[in-house]
Amino acid sequence: MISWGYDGTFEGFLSLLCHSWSRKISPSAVAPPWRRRRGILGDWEEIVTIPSQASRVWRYLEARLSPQGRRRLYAAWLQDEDSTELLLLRYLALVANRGREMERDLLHPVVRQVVDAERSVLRESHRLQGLLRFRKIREGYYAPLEPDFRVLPLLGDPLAARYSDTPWMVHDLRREEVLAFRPGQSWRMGILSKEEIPQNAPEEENWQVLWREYYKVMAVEGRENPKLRRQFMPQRYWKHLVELEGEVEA
Amino acid sequence: MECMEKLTILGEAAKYDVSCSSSGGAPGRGGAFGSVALPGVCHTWAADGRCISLLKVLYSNECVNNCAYCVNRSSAEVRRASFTPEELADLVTAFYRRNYIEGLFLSSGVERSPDYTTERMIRALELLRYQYGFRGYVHAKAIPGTSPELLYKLGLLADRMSVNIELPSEESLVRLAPQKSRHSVLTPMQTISSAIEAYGEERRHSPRAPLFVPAGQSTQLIVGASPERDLQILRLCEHLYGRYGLKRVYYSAFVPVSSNPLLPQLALPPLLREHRLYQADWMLRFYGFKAEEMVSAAYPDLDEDLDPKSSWALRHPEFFPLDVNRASYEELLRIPGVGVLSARKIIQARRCRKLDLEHLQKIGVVLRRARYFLDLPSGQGHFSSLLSSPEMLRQALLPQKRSREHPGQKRLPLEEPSLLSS
Repeated sequence: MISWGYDGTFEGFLSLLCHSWSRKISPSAVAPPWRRRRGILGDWEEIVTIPSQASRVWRYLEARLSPQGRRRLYAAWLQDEDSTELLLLRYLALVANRGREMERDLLHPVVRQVVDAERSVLRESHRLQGLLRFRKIREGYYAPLEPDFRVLPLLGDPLAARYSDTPWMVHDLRREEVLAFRPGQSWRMGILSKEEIPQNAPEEENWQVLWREYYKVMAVEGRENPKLRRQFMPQRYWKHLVELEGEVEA
Repeated sequence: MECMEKLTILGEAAKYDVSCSSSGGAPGRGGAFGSVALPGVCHTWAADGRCISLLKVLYSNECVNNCAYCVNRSSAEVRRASFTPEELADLVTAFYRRNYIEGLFLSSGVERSPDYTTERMIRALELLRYQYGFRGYVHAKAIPGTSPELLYKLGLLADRMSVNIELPSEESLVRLAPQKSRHSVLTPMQTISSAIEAYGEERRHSPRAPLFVPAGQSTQLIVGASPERDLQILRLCEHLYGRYGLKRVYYSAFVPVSSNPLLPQLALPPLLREHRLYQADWMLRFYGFKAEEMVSAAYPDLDEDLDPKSSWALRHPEFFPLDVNRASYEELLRIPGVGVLSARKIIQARRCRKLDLEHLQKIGVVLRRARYFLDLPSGQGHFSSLLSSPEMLRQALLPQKRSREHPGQKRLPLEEPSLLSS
């Protein structure tokens, strides 16, 4: 059983592809550090990220995949589940054999899984783009999240376009990662332990109270529909929603 | 009065406006912070399951009009309040920076006169846009009777505008909203529509030309407060989409807010009817249907038990069965249960191979209703034979109660349905 660990960056994943292809080895497990902590036992061989290899693989993928196909690969990789990297290895082997037409063969089981992975990642990132809640902290704003998938990198661009005049960060408590932004710079990913939650600014409470009140007022009596609300806004996200914090629906 | 109190009063007063869409705005407005996302973003869902994307408030709930169906009518005994421009701008920016909202939906009761009210809304929006530098989404309500000059000014500050048509006919307006008329509603709609066209034309020639209501205009009407049939409503909406280039018509099931004898006494708002109207509306806009195909003198109301496409299909068995491997995009869209996404997927997937029922299922086409209308290769069941028996087909199409005991059965059983074997 061959288990490979890597640093969890996309570059690292590309390096790992190169490692696998040049040695003709197919690993039976691949995981970034956070999934190794939680997951499967056994010895992990660490595959080191080599930037030159990563860019060689990327140039190869540019030739083999359409721009849309490359975005799909990246989004599917962010699914970040135990089988994700292995699925993508299989997918890219198919692409190597059959070329671009593979992308359109939605009925091929491997392609379908990749498309499904992409879809669920994009759906969650779009959802959380609305559901994440910033709190004012001493310097700038802070938002905690516990997403199913690794959506932070996908939130970077839309949030930076929106809040470009103030520092902010989004914290993935599950993966202990952070997306951080400062005015005048581009957003960056970093590491932040789940214990390091910054304190709210003193005026924060006041706005939260206003928002909770407004939220309650907006529901039209006589049209309550808890099932519909849960469908749009699953309860697993409620924990970090200012307006629903601590509430659980019967 | 404190901000909390005002927010409660003016939010409460605005919540019956249905629109909360934040889509279609154009980026590229100047300003310090904020952005619009093309597909729109929902930020939360209220207990009634409706999306909250915009901070929806009235600027003031003072009103000189006395429309029977409205919570803010002049004769109603409610507490009255008005924002100041600063209060409103502070609220919007504080909520926006916390990612509670996508922008602002600003409406107002008519305080003194339409022009006076609109001027106050403009002042608040100017502060928000120019002093606070806000470039997020703004939906502004145009108040019937406002002068065109003020509407132009408002339109330059907003991403979307709307004039509520309120009721589907002139007679009902006269009866329930004595200060309004069909004419007073359609005039501003026409003003905005022409201005959108003119500014849009200018912008095609020079990208620096100002943005005027880039997300277009919409309207809303109340369903069930007056006696019009669906036929009248859908014809009206078709006309509005065609004539004024509206982006959306919103339908709002009448929620009794007063015991006025002019109004019907309903135990519950007609939610199902509202739902069917929305479905029919989608058919008008995205599926290439005409109003008269769904409702006619013979069928003046939509069938509440069945979605409008299924009931159309039941009346037109000669159109089916369709071969998914050959049907055009427009034809695919006429199959009950097949939407825009499914039709596109079918077209993409059939390039690679001939599709059968199992393939359709795998690419995610919902077959519960669709299968009765498909011409399938032999050995795939003869669902379409039901086409010759409209009553049985109708039974098969009715929504089924989901049973929790057999979750496995939610998937389509590929054998023939029990209806045929019994």
